Amino acid sequence: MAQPSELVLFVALSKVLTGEKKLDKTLADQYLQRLKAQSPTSMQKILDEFSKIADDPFLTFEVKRRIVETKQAGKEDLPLMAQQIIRIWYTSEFFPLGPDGKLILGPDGKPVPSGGTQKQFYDGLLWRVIQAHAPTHSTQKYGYWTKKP
Amino acid sequence: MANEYDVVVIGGGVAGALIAWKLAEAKRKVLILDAGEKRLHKTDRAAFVKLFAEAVNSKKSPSQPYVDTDNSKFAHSPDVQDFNPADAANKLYYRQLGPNMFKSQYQRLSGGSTWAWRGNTPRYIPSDFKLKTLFGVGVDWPITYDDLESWYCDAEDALGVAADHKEWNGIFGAYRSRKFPMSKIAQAYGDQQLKRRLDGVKIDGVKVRIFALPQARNSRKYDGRRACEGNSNCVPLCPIQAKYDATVHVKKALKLGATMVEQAVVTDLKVDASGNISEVVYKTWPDGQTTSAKGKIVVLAAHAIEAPKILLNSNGGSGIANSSDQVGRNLMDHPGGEGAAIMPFQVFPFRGPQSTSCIESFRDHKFRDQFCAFRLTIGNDGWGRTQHPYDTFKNLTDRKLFGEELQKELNHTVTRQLRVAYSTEQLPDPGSRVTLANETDDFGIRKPQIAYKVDDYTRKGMEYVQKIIKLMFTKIGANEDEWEFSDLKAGTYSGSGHIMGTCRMGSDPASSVVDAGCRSHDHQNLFVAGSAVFPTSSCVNPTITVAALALRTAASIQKQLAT
Repeated sequence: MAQPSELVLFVALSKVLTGEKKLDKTLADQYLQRLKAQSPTSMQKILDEFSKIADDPFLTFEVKRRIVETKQAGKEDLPLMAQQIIRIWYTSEFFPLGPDGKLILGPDGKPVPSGGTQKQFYDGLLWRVIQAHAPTHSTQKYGYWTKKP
Repeated sequence: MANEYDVVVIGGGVAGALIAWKLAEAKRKVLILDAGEKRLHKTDRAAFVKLFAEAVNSKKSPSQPYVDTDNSKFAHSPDVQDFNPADAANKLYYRQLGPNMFKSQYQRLSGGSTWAWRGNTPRYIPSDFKLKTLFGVGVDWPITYDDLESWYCDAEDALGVAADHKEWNGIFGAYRSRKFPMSKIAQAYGDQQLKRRLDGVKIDGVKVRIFALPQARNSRKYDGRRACEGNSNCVPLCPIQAKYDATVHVKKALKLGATMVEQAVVTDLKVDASGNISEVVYKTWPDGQTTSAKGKIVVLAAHAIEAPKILLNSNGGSGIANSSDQVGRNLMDHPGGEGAAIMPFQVFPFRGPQSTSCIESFRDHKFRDQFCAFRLTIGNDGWGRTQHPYDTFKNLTDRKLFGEELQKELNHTVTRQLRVAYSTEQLPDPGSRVTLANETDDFGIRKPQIAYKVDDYTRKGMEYVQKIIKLMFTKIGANEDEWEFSDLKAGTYSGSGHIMGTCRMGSDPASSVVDAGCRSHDHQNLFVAGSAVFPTSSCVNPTITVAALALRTAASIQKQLAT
């Protein structure tokens, strides 16, 4: 389990990044652990940075300025880490960052994805945002596809 | 004797399973040998679904849940991802000799490649059987549509095909003597939008009709299986088996008393002095033990690459059933591609089956003497191979979009993504062939190697089909700046997984491997089942024709056994 304050911080940051008003706490804890385990340096940095602006009345603006689009020296990995947080919520996958704040590459020179569990795949926000469901995870009956969602 | 049977069936895919079922029903003693695992239980399906769901997206391919098993070592199934690397020729199970890459895969486990098909079951049309006579290209089949029509009906009943009789009865002369066993699969919302705008419109002089695609997928409860729930995942597998797969008939055959040996890779078909197949030799894995079985009849239903591999490896490697030198030749596929566009309206993909509608209007076009026929499928899966939603998402996050702006843009883009896929006819070419490589697999069996060419007849057809799709997109009002097409200048095409030819049927033993009844010209107790026997390819999914031929072959075998 993550420290409560850390989890609260992660959920708050995730809400801004994903655009979701409500996020599942259990999933949040699982994602935080995965991100911390595989990208510890950059995760700590992004949480530290966010903690400085978490109470800002113009939070979205500040997240954009200080994290998503920052070009500040020493914080070049924050935009990339923000993308990974969005990615894990939307797809259950992310690309881990090394201690140098860069994507870890495989032998083929491509980033190496880290996949999630079956439930995490099904809970990917992307499918809900496009008004569909994850493949193999319909919860509806025959013919629902003939109507608008 | 324990290892003596009326019929030994090699391969538990759709052709082998149907033949085993019909002969077991006729009280024959049947043995099914399958190179792969017997994954027939619900828990097996659930395990495959879990493998699929937990694979990272870049690894989610038509074969992915199956290659992640021990099958991949002992009964290797090629995977589409094997076709991508620059040095693929050295990585594939089968060595590729060129000049073009063969890009289709198959599954070697009980149920075969029907695990990973979309269930599309359009019949061939009468002209498909007479290509040489009518258009001066390819060859004629030794049978006609009339010969196969009643078997098509039986096959549609057996697999459970859902379609609209009125739409399909008489299409290009393909009359129907029986209605489909189920009403059509309801067409997706996006397909209906297209139909409103395109149905009945003339494109390049051809009246376009958008039909509900015949599919071996339940539109109601059928044969003990549930109605489709639109899981958007027919390939690589249906999680609830609403879509037919051949494990249905493997289980039926076993219930009727057939025997199945799983993980049994056939290494040799021995021939006796009378020219009959006297023994089927196989190795089981992982122990590598060699065993044999005898059958009054032997049915080779191992698909169009494994079947010639077995024939060519038999008789100490000198080959059997090959007095015509046609075994392995005339390998065909349906080279395909797609045109993708952002629609000026929402189509809401990824809801329902991966496709529910098709355009057959160009299957018998006036230029067929010059270039290939083709058919079109309307995708219900966004931009399909062109761009997965994860890639659309990545494009947006790369632009630093996040939060509500990201949600809005993602929804706006993906819900309007639509693709039209095409599959084309390929002529038989004796130079496109399966032979034996010098390399051996883990059992010491020489692997198949493939020479393959996509010729101008097909490539010219691909140029024409792209022109047709562009005219359709224009008619719909899709913005040309938001179109993406398979790059023909770069020679781009995809495989359809429709592997045909290599043991073709014909009346003349000098130019064909099996006769019109799918029996070897050279060995009176050897039958070949499956798309390996197809003399020509048409441009449509082969499975219902495979099934019809299999049922017809089972009847012939039953007659031969009775005499």
